[in-house]
Amino acid sequence: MKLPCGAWAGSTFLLVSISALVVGCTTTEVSQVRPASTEKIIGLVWTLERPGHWETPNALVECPDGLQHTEKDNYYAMEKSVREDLGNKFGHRWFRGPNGENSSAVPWAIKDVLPFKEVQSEVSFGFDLDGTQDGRQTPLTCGHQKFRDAAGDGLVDNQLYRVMGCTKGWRSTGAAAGYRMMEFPHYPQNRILIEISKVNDEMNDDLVEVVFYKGMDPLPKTADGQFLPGLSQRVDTRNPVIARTSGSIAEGVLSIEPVDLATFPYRWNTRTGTRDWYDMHFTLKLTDDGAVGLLGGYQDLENYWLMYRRGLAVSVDNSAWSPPSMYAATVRLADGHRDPVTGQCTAISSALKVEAVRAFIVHPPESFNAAQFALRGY
Amino acid sequence: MIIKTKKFTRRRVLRGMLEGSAVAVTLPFLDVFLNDEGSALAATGSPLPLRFGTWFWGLGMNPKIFVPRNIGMDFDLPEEIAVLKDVKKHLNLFTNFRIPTDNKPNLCHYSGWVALRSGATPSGRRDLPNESLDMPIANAIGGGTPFRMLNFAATGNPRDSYSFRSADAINPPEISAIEVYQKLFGQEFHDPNSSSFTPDAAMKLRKSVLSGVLEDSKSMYKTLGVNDKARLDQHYTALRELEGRLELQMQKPPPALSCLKPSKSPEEIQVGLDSRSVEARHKAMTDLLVMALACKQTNVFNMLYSNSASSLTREGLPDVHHNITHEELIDEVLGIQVQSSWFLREAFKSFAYFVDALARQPEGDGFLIDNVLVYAHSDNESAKTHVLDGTPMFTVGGAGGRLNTGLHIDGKGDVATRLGYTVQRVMGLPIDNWGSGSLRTSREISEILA
Amino acid sequence: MKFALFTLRLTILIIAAMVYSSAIASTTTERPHNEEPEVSGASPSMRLLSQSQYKNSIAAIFGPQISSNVRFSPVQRIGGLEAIGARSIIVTIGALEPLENSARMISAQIVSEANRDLLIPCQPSAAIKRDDNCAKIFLSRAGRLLFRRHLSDVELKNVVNVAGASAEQAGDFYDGLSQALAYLLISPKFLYIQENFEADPEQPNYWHLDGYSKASRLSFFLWDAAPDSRLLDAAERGDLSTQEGLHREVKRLLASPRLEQGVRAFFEDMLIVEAFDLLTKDPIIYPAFTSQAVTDAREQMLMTISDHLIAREGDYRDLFVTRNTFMSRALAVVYRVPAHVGPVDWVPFEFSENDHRGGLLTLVGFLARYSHPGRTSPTNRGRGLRETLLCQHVPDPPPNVNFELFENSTAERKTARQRLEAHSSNPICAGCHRLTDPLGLVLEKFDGAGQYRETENDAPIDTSGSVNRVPVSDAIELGETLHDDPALTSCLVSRVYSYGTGRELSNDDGHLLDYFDREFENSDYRFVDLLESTVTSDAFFKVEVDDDLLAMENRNDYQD
Repeated sequence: MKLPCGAWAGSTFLLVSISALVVGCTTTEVSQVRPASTEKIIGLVWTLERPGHWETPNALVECPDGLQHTEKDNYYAMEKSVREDLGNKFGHRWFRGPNGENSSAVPWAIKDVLPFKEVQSEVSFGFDLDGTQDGRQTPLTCGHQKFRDAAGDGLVDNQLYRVMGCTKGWRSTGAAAGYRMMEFPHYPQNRILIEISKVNDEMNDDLVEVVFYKGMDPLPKTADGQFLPGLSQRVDTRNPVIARTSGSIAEGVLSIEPVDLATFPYRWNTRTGTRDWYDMHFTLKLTDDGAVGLLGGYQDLENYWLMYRRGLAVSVDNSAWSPPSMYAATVRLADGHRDPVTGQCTAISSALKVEAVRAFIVHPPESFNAAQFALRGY
Repeated sequence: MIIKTKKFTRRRVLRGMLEGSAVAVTLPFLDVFLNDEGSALAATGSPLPLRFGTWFWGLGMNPKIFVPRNIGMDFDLPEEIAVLKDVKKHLNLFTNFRIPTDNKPNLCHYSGWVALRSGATPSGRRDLPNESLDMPIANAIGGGTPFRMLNFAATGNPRDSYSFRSADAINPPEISAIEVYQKLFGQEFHDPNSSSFTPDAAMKLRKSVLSGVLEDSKSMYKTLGVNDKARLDQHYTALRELEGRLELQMQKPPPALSCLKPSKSPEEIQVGLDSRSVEARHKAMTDLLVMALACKQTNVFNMLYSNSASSLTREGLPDVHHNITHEELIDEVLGIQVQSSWFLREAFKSFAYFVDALARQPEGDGFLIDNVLVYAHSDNESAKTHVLDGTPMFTVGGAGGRLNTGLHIDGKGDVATRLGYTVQRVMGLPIDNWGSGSLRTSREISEILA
Repeated sequence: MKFALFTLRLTILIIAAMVYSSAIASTTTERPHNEEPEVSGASPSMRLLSQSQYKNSIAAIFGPQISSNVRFSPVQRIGGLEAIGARSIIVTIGALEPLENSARMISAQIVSEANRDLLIPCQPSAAIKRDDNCAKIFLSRAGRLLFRRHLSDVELKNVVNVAGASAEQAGDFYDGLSQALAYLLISPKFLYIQENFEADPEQPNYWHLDGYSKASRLSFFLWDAAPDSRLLDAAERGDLSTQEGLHREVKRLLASPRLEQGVRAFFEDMLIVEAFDLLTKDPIIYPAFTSQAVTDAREQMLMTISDHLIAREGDYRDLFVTRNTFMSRALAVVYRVPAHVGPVDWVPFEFSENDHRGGLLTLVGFLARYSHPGRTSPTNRGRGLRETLLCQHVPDPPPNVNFELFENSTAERKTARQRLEAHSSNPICAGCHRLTDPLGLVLEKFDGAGQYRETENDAPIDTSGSVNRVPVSDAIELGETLHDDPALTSCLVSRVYSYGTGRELSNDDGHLLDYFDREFENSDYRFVDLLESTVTSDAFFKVEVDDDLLAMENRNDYQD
C-alpha cells in the first residue's frame, strides 16, 4: 500500500514538529539581545529657595549707610499737616495713595520723601546676562553696574540685589525671606521638578536634556528636619512644561542653554500667580542625595510687581520696606528687555539660590485621563 | 497642729508628745489605724485615705553601680541611682532578696514579675497562678471611689499590665494620657470642692440600664458550661462595679481640698517606644494620677514604665534595650554595660519624677506621699543573665505613718515575697502568710515598720 | 521496501498519537476520592466579640455613618490565634468601661436627628412621651440583629420597658430609645457569641450547633461580623440544616464583597498584625520609614493578600512569589521605586522582572516588622516565618545563654551573618537557631526597614541559606522553595479550621486536617474554596456535649 505523498509529508512534518517541540522545551530560551542603555535620568525636586544675595554680618559692607528706610520712616518724614490730613481722610498710615490706596497697591503714585539705599557691594551671586564687561547700554539692555561674581571669576548682573539687598526683610535672617523659605516647599503650587535626562556620566557629560515641570505632591521631612530624598513626585500635567532645554555637566556641575522665557507657577504669601524669567540661566552642583545651585535671569517687572504687591502688602512693616521708593528703584535700576520706544527696561536681572533633593519624577501612566484629572482630581 | 514628720510611732502618739510639742490628733488616729477603711485623719476632720500603688521597670539593674555599700539609714547612692538623691528620704530600697522558682523553669522576663506580684512562680508562659496583690488590696480599700483602680502603661502598649486576676482576666492599662484626662477630668468630673452639686440625670438612666441588663442576662446561665458560667460571673461583677460607680457619681463627692482639675488636656505624645516618648507619657500620666489621687478618684493604681523585656529604644541606637543587655560588651574600664545603664538611669529618672510628684502634692497638712504606699520592683537583677535573685525592689511613701522610709534593706538571701507580704499587711489585709512553694512566707520586713 | 516505509510512517504516527494523548490525559487526571473522616467536635463556646467584629457589626446593622471608636482590651493568643483566646477571656471592669461608653455613644448617634429617620422605621405618637408600639417595632428588629436571634417575649418586654421608663424619665421618646439601645449593646447577649446546640436529626447521639449558632459561626468567620437578616432568616427556616440550604447561603457569603473583611480579619490574627501598632524605626538610621510608612506597610500586606486570594482567585502558595502588590507614596520611598500615586492613595504595582522582590516575605510589612529599630534580625524573621506561616514552634532561648560570643559589629564581623556565626557554630545554640537563621539570612539584602542593599558596613552580603536543608540563594528562591513546602498549606488549613471553630486543635483532628489538605490541593489551593470546604464540612458545626451540659435544662429563652 502506498500512502499519498501528502500523508508522508504530513507525518514527517508531525514528527519533525514534535521533535522540535521536545527539543525546544528542553533548551534554554534564547533571549533577545538588546544593547544595555547607559543613559539615565536624574530627577530632582526644588526644596528651598533663597534670594541670590551676597551678605556680610550686619550688612556693614553692602549697606554702609544702614538698612532701608521703612514705610513708617517715610510716613513720619512727611510734613505733619500732610500726615494729619491723610490720617483724617483715610486712617492708617499705609493708606498713602492719592485716593487712600494702600501704598503697596499703587507704589508708582506715591513719592517717598526719604532717599533709597542701594546696595554698595561690589560682589554678588548671579549670571552674566548682557555679555558686556562694563554693563553699558545695549540695544536690549540698559546701562548699569555689574558685580564681581561671588562664586567664581567674571562679572554678573543682579540689579534686583541692588534694590533689595539692604531691605531687612529680604536678608537671610529677615521675615520675608524666612517666610518664603517656609512657604516654598510647603505648597504644591510651588513644586518644581527638574528632570535631567540622557545622562551618561553624572560627573561629565557634553549633552543632556533638562526639563522643568510643575509637580503636585507634598514634600515631607525626616525627623530631623531634612527633606527626604527618593520620593515620587508626580508631574502636574494641567500645567504646561515650564522649560525644556539642553545642558551639559562638567565636574559634577550642570549648566543649561539659557531659556528665552520660563514661566514658573508661583504661590507667594497666600497669593498665586506666576514668575516669569527671561533668559533664564541655571547651574546646579549635583550631590549624592540632591543638588545646590543658582537660577537667574531677567524677571519681568510687571509680573514681579503684580506678585510683589499682592504678596507683601501686609508685610511692609515686618519686612521693613517702603513700596513707593522700592518701586521707583526697580524702574530706575531695571536692566533688561529694553523697550525700543521708551527706552525703559522692562525686566530686572536677579538670581535665586536653589537647593534640591533627588526624587523620582513620575509621569502619568498611559491610562491617565488628563481631562478627568483636571475635573475631578483623580 | 500636726508635725510634718514621718517618725510617728504608736508609742510616741500614746505619750501625747512628739519632739516636745503637743500632737493635735492622738487616739482617734489610732482607732483609724484599725478601722476597715484604713484611712488616716487630718486636722480638718475629713478622712485622708491610704492609697496603694505599684511601679514597674524592666531589666533590673547593674549591681556594681546600683547596690549601695551601706545598709540601713543614710545609705549611699551609687551612680546608677544617683538621680534618686532628692527623693531618697521617701524610699526604702531592698536588695539581695531571692526568688526561688522551685522546679519550674526561669521564664525570662516573666517568672520574676509574676512571682513578685502574685507570690507564685508560673509554670509556663501563659500561666498566672494567682491574682496580683493589688487585687485584694483594691477589694479592701477601693470602695468609695469612682475607680476601683487605675492602671497605666507608659509604653503605650495595651498588653503591658501586671495587674490581673488570672491569665484571662488581666486589667487593661491606660495607654494614652489624653484618654486618661478625658476619663478622669472630662465630662463626668465633679469638682469635689465646689459648693454646688447637680447629680447628672443621665447617671440614673445609665444605672437603671445596667441593672436591667444584669437581670435580663441571668437567663444565659441556663445553657452554659461550668467554665463559661464562671466567666459570666466575673462579667457580672464588672457590671455591678460599674453600677456602683454610677451610684457613687450620683452623690456629691467628698471634699478633697487639694484637688485641682488640670486646666488642659495633655499634649499628644508620639506613639512608640523611644525613651523620650515613654518618659513624656510617664510624666503626663503621673501628673494626672497624682491629681486623681488628690481628688479621691481612686485609691489603687499601677504604673508600668517599661515592660519586663523592655523594648525601649534610643535615637541612634539600632537595638532595643533588651537586646543591648545581652549583646553589649562590658566596658573594660568602667566594668559595666554603658548603653544598658543609660536606659536604666532613664528609668530611675522617671521613678524620681514619680516619687517627687507624690511628694510635692499637698494633702491635709502634709503631702500625698505621706498617705501612699507604692510597691516598686523590676523583673530580674542583671538582665544580661536573667538572674532572679537580687531583683531590686523599692517602697515609696510613709503609708500613713505605718512605714519608716529612707532605709536600705539587705535581704540576706531571704525570699522576695516578704516585701509583698509586708506591704499587704500594712494595707490592712488580714492575711498571715503569702506565696506558694519556696516563696511562701509569713515574716514581715520589720525594719521598715514604724 | 514499501512495507517497511509504511511501517515506519505508521510507527511515527502511533508514537505521535501516544505523545499527544498522554499530554491531554495529564490535564484530566482523576481527582483522588476524598472522604471526610468523622470527628467528635468540641464543646460549645461563649466567645467574646473581637474589636473588629463589634465595629463591623455596628456598621453593617446601623450604617457606616455610625462611628464606633472603642478599643477592646487585648485577648490572649492561644494556639497562635486570638480567636481562640476569645473563648476564655474574662471581661474585667477595665475592659467593660469602654464598652459601656461605646454603647451610649453609638445609641446616641442612632437616635440623633441626623439618623433617626433613616434607622427608625416608625415615629412615636408624641416625641415627648413613651410609645411602646414604635419602640417594640424598632427594638425587635435591632435586637434580632444585635443578639443574632429573635428576642424572646420576656426579653422584648424588658427592653421595651427600658425604653418606655427612660422616655418617661427623660421626657423624650428618643432618649428613651437610646437607653434601650445602650441596654442591648452592653448586654452579654450581644457581647458574647454564645453557642447553643441541638441533636443531629440524622445521627443519634451526635450534636451540632443550632441554626442561629451556625449562622453566627459562619458570619463571624467569613464576614467578621454578625449574621445579616437573610442569614438569620435562613437559620429560622431551618435551611442551614440542609446541605442545599447551607451551600446556598455559604455561596452567598463567599460571593459578597464583605468576604474581604473576613479574610482580612483572619490574616490579621494569623500574622499577628497587631505588632504594627507599636512598630517604630530609628528616625536617624531609617529616615524614610515614617509612621505613615508603618500604617501603609500593614495595609499593603493585607491588600496584597486579599487581592491575590479573592479578586485574583490565586493559588495561596503564589503569595510567596507574586510580584503584584499595591504601592503608596510613603512606601514608594522605602521601596525606592517611582509610583504615580497621590499623597493618600494606592495604586496597583508590579515589581519589575529584575527587581529582587517577589512575594509576601519581600514586602516591607514582613521585613521591617521582624527587625529591630535600627538593624535586621535574621533570627526574628526566621522565627516569624516558622511560627506564623508554617505553624512550627521555635523554643525560647534558655535563660542562661551567654551572648558575649555575639558581639556588635567589629572589624571582623561586619554583616549579620558574621555576627550570627556563633549561633551556627556553637552546638547549644545551633539546635534552635538552625530553624530560624538559615531562613532569615536569605533576606539580609533587605535592611531593618525593608529597604534593599547590597552591602552592610561595606561588606558584601551573602544571602545563601536553606529551607529544611533545601539550599536557596536569594529571596526569590526562598519564596519559590516555600511555595513547594507542604507545611505552608497545611499550616493555613489548620489555622483556618481553628479560627473558624474557635478552638485549639488536638491530635484527634489529624485525619480531618489531612482531608482538608487534600481538598485544598484539589482546588488548586484557592483560598475561597478552602473556606467553602471548611464551613460545609460535617465537622464544622459538630459539637461535643458532656453529660453535665446535657443534664442542664439546656433550652435558652428563645428556644421555647
